[in-house]
Amino acid sequence: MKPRWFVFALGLLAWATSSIHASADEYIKLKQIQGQPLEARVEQYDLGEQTVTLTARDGREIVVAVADLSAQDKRLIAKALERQLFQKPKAKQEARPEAKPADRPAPLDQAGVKQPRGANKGPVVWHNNLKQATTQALGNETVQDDRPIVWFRVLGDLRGLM
Amino acid sequence: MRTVSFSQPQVQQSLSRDFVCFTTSTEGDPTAGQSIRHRPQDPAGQCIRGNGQQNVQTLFLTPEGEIFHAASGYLSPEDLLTELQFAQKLFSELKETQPTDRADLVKTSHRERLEKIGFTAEQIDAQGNLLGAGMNMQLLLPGSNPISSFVPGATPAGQDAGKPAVDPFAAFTRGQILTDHKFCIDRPLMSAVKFEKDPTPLVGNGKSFFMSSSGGNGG
Repeated sequence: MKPRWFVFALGLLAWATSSIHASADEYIKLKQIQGQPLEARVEQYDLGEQTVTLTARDGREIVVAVADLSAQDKRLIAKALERQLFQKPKAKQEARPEAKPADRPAPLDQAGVKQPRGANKGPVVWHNNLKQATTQALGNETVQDDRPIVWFRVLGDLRGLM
Repeated sequence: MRTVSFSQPQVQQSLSRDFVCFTTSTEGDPTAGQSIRHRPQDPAGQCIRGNGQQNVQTLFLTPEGEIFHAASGYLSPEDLLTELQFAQKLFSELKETQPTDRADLVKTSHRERLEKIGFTAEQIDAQGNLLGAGMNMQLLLPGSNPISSFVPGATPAGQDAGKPAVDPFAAFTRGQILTDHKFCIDRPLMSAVKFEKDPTPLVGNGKSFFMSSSGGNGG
């Protein structure tokens, strides 16, 4: 029998490790890092420290505070992280036709208002990782596409015993 | 809440369309309450808003992981929809606000909402976790007489004798609402990571036990 505390400890570890490590060898063209354009790979996003670690083409490692990033660069970095984070879940979703991907083109609601890109009209999708949720909440292009996160802290499992 | 509120089509539509949903279990957290376990298919028990405040908290975050609204305990479908709408409106305003003014906007919005509900400045500005500190919740009822409804015959003038002067359940709910909003006023845009390390400013230090009338399997 798998001890429950072990499962909880794993979850807690994942939560407490407040950073995302990138694995894909993907360089993005950032507009203004420390005053100049930079082509770099996103290595790590530290949610607690609110910093991003980048590696430039020449191998330099640069740590930038999220607050110092332009809105455009934030989005580029967020999208890069999202691509890395959701690589596997997306493949799973494609294999299951009943689970609709959340990144379809922005649909119109009943009043004809354009919904934020990434808005989901299917069943409620529950994330159990804050980093995934924050990345998903960032819109694609503009701040207007951003969505708020609703976080349910519950005693137990929302899908099981609680 | 799962059985009643999350199953409502309007709630589901709002959650899936307007929000990114995130859930964690507080099992093992020293601040979590206790509960008889319920399966998803167990019938729903009767709850009032705010029940089980240590067992469930609904928090609203910006994409940067900052808490801008909180509602503790049970929320009926109507209450949950109201909170979702409030959060959506506040988030829309936050997007239009300069970074330096965002915390003030959160404080102001929560204060205005409390005032609209009928709380006084004295109640809003009171220090500490109101429920945890054992504040007389009857004082939270607008225009209520602080004489306890639990004292037979102690009814304020103008009320029928024999009827409770104060509904203790309504007082509890109002107390919880005040605690939730005060948390956001006192700690606007608190980091979710920081909150997870120490949620006591919202949930308190006490230990509560929650059991709805549906019972459970005790497992």
